[in-house]
Parts: sequence; structure tokens; C-alpha cells
Amino acid sequence: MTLITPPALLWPVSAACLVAFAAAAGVVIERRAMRAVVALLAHSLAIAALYALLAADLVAVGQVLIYSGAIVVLFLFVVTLLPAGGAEPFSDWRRVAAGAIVGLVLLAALATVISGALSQPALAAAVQVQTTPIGSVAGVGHQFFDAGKLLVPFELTAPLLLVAIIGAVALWRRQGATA
Amino acid sequence: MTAEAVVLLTSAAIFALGATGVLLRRNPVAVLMCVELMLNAANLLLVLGSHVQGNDAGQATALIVLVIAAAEAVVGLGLALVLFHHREPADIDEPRTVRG
Repeated sequence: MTLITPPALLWPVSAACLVAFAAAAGVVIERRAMRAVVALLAHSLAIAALYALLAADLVAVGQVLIYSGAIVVLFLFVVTLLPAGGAEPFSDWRRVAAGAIVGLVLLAALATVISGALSQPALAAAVQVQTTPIGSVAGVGHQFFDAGKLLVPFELTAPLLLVAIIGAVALWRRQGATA
Repeated sequence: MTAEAVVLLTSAAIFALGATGVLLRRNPVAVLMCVELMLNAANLLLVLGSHVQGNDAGQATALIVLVIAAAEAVVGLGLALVLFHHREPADIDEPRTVRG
């Protein structure tokens, strides 16, 4: 694969990748819900750092605001609301085996695809055609509004959020009426 | 190994880890967090593709995925709270029927 990111950025990128992966492992392994949420916070901040390193400034800001700021805090609130901090029954061996098998098979499949893609000369040639700097707010906004391809999905996010809010409230209200 | 290859491998590893967690965990909140991991991995791949191709469309799509992740978290956490309200400790295998 052709080098686009300057070689000096290899170490920061690798460090952010390592933190993101270690924190993701913490989310999966940690049994106490509160610690898992803190690991998710570390993961999302590391991903935001990766976005910034990949010249995606707007997405990095969005990740910090929406993910670290809103979603992780929502998880924190729910965990504190849970009785007994969300105690979890132990996973039996069948569950562990199923998780391990699916994880390994998925990883093997993805690694096969990736190694194939990395060794392809056609992709490496296509990669060299990088003309304009990307990641500016104007450029991303152009994709949404002027290019027109993403206009419908963008507009559909508004009713999606509205339906999600109404759904969450309706779930809790009906539950309160029956309890 | 270039930085792009490192990010590509990390994305694949995090996605597999998230899938493992979805099957492994029994706490509905933890399962949701693992789904968020998988969404993050997919988003990372979108941004990497945008970077490699020199095209902003991947970043715009990543922003839409962020919003979808937020909506999913809201509804999922509402369901998890209702589940915990009914039985404690909540097990994601317990509910077998859905009424209404």
C-alpha cells in the first residue's frame, strides 16, 4: 500500500490503535459495568485521536461530542441507575466457546481479505491519486448538500432521532403503567 | 508496515472483539457496549477509506453512522432498563416472548 500518512505519524497512529484495541478488550472482558463504561470512554477517545491523525477533523470533533460526550455519559447514567450496579451472571463455557469461535473465525476472514487487499498492486496504484486536502467542514458539507448523494440519508437522521426519543419514552411509560 | 495498514488491522481486530463480546456477555448493557465497539470499528474503516481515496464522502457517511449509533444506544438502553426493572440480575437470554 502506498504511503499517504507521513512516516512520522506511524508511531502516534500505532499508539492510538493500541490504546483503542486495549480499551475495547477491557469493554469485552471487564465484568463490572462501571469499569467497562470507563474503558468504552478511553476507546472512543483513542478512536477520536485516530480520526484526527487521519485528517478527519470534523469526524474527530463529532466523535468526542456525540460518542464520548453523549453516548458514554448515557451509558454511565444507566449503569448508575441499575440496581446493584448491573450485576451479571457468569457466562457458562458454551457462551465463552461460541464467542471465541465467532471472534476467531471473523478475525481470520477479515485478515484474509485485508492481506489480499494490501498485496494488490491495482489498489496501491489507485491509492496514489490523492489530489485535494480532505476533512474540511466545507468539503464534508459539500458531500451532504451539494453532491446530493447523501442528502436523503442526512435528512432521514432527523426523524430517526425523533423516533428514537419517542420510542425510549414510550418504553418507559408503558413499563411504569404495568409495574 | 504503513500507518494505513495498522489502522486497517486495528479496525478488523476491534470488530471481531465486539462480535465476541456480543455473544460472550449476558448483561444487556454490556452487549450494547460491544455493539458500539463494532460500530466504531466500521466507522474507523469508513474514515480510513476516505483518507486513502482523498474523498470526503466517507467522512460524511461516518457522521451519519455516529447519529445512528446514538439512536441505537437510546432505544437499547431503554430496553435494558425495562429488562432490569423486571428481573435482577438481568440476563439477555431470559426474555423469550415480546408482548404488544
